[in-house]
Amino acid sequence: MMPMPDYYEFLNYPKIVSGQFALENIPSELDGYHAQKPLVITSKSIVQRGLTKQFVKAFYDSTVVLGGIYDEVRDYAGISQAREAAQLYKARGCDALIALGNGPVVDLAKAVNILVSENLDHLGPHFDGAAPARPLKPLIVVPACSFNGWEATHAMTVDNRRLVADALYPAAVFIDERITIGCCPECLAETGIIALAQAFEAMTADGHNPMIDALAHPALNLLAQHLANGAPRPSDSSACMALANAATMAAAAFCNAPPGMAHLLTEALGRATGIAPGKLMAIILPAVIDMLQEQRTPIKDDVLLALAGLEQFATSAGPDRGRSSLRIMLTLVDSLKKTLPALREAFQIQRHLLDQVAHEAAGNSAGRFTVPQCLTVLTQAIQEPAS
Amino acid sequence: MNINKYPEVKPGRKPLKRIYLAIMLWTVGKAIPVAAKVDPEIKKEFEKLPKNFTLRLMVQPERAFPLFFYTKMLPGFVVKNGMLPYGLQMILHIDAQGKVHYQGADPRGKKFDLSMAFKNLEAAMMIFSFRESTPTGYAHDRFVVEGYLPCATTFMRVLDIVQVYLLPKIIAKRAVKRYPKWFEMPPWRKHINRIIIYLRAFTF
Repeated sequence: MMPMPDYYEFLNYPKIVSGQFALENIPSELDGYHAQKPLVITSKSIVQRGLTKQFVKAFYDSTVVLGGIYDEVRDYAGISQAREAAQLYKARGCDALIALGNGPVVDLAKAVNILVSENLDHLGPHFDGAAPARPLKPLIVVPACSFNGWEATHAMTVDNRRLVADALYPAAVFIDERITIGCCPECLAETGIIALAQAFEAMTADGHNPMIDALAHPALNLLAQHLANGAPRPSDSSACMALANAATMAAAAFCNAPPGMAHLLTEALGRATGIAPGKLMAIILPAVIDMLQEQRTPIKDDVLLALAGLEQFATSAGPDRGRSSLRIMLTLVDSLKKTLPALREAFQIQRHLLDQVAHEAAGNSAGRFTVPQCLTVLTQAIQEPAS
Repeated sequence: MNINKYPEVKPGRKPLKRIYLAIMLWTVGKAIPVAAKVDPEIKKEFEKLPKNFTLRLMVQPERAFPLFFYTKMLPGFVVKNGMLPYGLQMILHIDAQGKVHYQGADPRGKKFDLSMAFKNLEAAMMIFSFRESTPTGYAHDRFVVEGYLPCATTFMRVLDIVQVYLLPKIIAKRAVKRYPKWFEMPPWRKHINRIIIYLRAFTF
């Protein structure tokens, strides 16, 4: 029986177009927004992999002219680059944005969107809490390689500052195997583990609702089927597509739910140490699951149904279902150990930094987690396993 | 910043695919009016559509696919009756008597009651190279339909039956939702109708 919440809010964005020749639908999607000249924002690594050529070919026999391909993004989105791209956007008379890539590329595209839509030169007012005053230009995201979990959401990180606003949701996410196929096993594993944590935390969060379940359930199901086998094989297009879809669904569910402990800690620790969130999640998620097991936190039955399928769900006794789902989660995380080994840098994090991270995470949790709880999980996570 | 470092990218062209699709749309378009005469099922389907009804099947975006260059050199009646393939549209008209006419690929001066458009060239190629069946393409949202939806589904059923007549079984099986069993469409009826359709449609 699904309990009906007394009250909930859910914003169902973005549109997802996934499958064979998905990219060729971008011109007709842009046409729906009366846009004909998008600016493409991408990174050098995407250009080097030849993905921009594939991408441009998708616009053949259309009336869409690409206003330019701004390929200066590296592993960091900054306001100076956003200003440059906005200048290019205005000079070419563009009317839409396409982010071809992951994390920083999408963040930069969102920042450029605010600058050009609001005719601003900096993001100061928005970082001070002002929401974008008018609808932004259509932003299309074409994820490539890996996901950091925020591409399909209403958040962006520019100059290490996070901005969250509903207007920042991309209009559509296009998942096409020609672009989305993973570049390395590590990238896929990072994508998978972040998506796993997002879907799990969205589904088990306090304020979850039927709409969150509707997205998190298939995401967990796809991850359970494809994560262990698909992550080590980036050339396996069906597994890559499944992981990309799962990541998009998990992100859409996650940004409608309060963030869980794994995310709060990963984000805070990532900011403090500069380590990639996927790598941190690989050590923090098992520690969070261990804590849930120790505290005997009740986990809803649906998680087992999503992770293990109907047969195992039906053969498990009611009270065991929560524990079984946590065991499966741990098995899934363990299956990535070869692809995503625990980082040596993570084991050398100073104690005072852990205190700071625990305080930050507990502060951002709006009272759902305490500092000692966060500190316990962190200490366990960065404990070097006995070899 | 030197903006010339990031030049504009104009879309390229896929001429061979355009020619292939023009021929396919022309072939199907020419065959439908004849099939409506010889096949009772198609006749019944067309009876469901209103009289004086014009429909078209095309590839979007319309502006990207002008009529072929030689259209200007052809006599008017050749273009009007669609005697040669010259564009990525297929226009059919049902007159006041319920008779179906193929009206070529030139949309100028015509008002459409139903317009079905493939969202892009590759979507049309998927269907017309039989990698995806017409109903699957419809389910995958490869078309944009403007008009009354039941008329569109009627036309999809007509397309399904016409493909059975036009294509050999091995290909038609991939193109249609379900290939008819022998008792639904006996082989003698299928082969005789196929010969009639090919002869009457393509002998001007």
